[in-house]
Amino acid sequence: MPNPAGERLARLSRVATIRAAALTGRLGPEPQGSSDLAALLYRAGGCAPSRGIDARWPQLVLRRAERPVRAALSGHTRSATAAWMSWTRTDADTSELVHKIYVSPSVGALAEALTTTFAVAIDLGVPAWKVGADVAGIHRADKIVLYLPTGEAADRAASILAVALNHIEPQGVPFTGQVGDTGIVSRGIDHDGTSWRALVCRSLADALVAGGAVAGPTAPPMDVADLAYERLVGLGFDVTTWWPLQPPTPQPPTPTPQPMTTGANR
Amino acid sequence: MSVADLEFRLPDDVDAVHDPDGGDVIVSRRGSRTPPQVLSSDAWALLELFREPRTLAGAVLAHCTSTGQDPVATLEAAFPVLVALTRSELLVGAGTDAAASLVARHAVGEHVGPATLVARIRVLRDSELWDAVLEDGAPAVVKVVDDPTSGPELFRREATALRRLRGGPVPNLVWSEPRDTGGVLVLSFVDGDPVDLAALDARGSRGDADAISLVLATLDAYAAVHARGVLHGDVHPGNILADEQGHVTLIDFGIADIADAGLGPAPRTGGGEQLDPAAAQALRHGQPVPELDVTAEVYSLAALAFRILTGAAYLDLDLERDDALDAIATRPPRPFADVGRPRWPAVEGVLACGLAKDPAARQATAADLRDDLARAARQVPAPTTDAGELTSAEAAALVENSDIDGLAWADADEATAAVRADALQAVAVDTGSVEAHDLALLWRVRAGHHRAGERLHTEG
Repeated sequence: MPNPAGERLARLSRVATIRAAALTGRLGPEPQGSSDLAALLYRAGGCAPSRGIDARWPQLVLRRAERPVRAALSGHTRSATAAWMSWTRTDADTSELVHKIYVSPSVGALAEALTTTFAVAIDLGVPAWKVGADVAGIHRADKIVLYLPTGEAADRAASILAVALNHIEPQGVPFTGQVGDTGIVSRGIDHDGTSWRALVCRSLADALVAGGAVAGPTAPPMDVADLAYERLVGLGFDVTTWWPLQPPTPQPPTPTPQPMTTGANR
Repeated sequence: MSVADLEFRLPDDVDAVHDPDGGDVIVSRRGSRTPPQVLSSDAWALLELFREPRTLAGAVLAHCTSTGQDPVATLEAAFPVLVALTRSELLVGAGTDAAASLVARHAVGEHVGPATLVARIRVLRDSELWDAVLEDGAPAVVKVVDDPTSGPELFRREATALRRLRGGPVPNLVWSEPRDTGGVLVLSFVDGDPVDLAALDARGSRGDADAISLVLATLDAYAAVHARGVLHGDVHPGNILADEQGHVTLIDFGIADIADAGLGPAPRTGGGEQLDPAAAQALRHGQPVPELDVTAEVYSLAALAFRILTGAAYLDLDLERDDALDAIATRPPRPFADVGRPRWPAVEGVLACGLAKDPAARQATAADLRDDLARAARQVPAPTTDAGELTSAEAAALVENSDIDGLAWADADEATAAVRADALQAVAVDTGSVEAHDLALLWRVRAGHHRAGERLHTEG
């Protein structure tokens, strides 16, 4: 596989794109084919739970992370869904919290990364964050997500987190903008209630299908990927770093590939 | 006034979480000890009508008006559900004390005896637990017992036991004050996790060596407590906290039996896997539960050891209450292999002795159980064998050769793609590799709806 120069998450994203491109000549009829690709791209960078994992372990790790900062969390509302545990400052306006920081440690380093992330989030006054609360959730690439009201605040917090977590083994979230050396911290931005990665993966899947149709079924996957990237550049995406600098032009709505949780307060 | 005339309501502090994969709704009440209830979306829609006070019949009629369902059939189907909801206090009489939302009895910054409250750990309808700090800066926990029926006895037993056990494997009792409905205890802070979870490694899996160490440390703690004439009576993992060094502390002595303390026989728990067979038999037949003794506590400790070592109960107790009590009274423990753990015959034999239905057949003391387990644990668990498991070199080769620039990708049909997806998934599970995970997903899409019928053993 090609390893383009650049940062780790950019490389992971490029690899995931080319692999998805290799499927474009083998997909079922639309819109299912595009949905399959979007789901594949969205799940890229995850990992599988070990065979003997205890289903209560994610909750244990979360409790351990909360314990040292319990007093500081008294000004936060803690809420839970089946998949996420969220902490939101009681004075936060969640409708403004669209600037995201992803923290993605390897599963084995999750406990240490969580403790540090909670401490930094509280110290910086981060208004809201959520963590995967079940076995599936902590094996996703985007297992920890922080929400901030401005890009500047998110950039600053991300830089501080990247330094604090620099020694921890990363997992890394494809299609997000890397902050720091390792890829454990990255950035995204939600648009109109759609999460950054859902938007990217749907747009990229559609572009890959379109690129595959243009290039033909025997075209090399890299060529299909490049065609798709050209299309995404036209929509306002930075396909090299996946940094969420400009609000991309929204795509026409396409079927959702799978349930995707978005929003700080869900 | 008849039941038909009574108005019920859904308390304001009931939370509902909708399962995105199915139509179920998980409903719980803040501060309640009743476990969350799972309702169908239809039942939840009916329950939500009680946001305003209504009679049971009135709510069913309103529900049927909006859904077009038959009122009589709906009432017949819904009545048992509504009764069950009243028992779990998710549906309460309008205007009663039970309808009031839970309000914390204390607040951050408040002084309780020598402690200042720092943060709420939990607030229940019958008790509270707070993080606190003492005047010298030492961390502490404040426990408030507040239940008019059982609170005073729970408080008295806990305070008496902790004074008796001072210096032992229990929190230090710093200060206490009885109240009409229970009392307040200020305890030294204990850092730790439930003992069954403390045995998990950095990826959430259970290690045999760590687990057996925690079992032995737990039994040492119980032996020390028993030696001072105290039987805990509430043996479950949440009441045994283990820190990162494996030190064990026992908590919650509210139903402890304390010899020569003048408190009389201790109340017994009404269920749970720690229940001994004689107690289970009595509960099943509505008879008085026998007093707690050492043999009953040894049984509970063997059940606890099984859970620490395997992560599962020694019996499948996911049954109706009557059947669960019968299982405790009559059925032998299941083998470790039945709960997905490696066979460990020597240890399983010792636990089977501790879990004997006849008290005389059990180890006589917690110390005896500890010594028997320590001896048995010198024999290592039987290795698990999986004929299809790949060596690490084979697994690496499989991942290396499964990318889209390999020959396999060019040549595969749907059936071989499905086989390869399964093989890669197995590697992903065994290794935690992101690369294997991503390739497994890729090949799964490539396979379409085809499912593999066999595993891929080796990769050339």
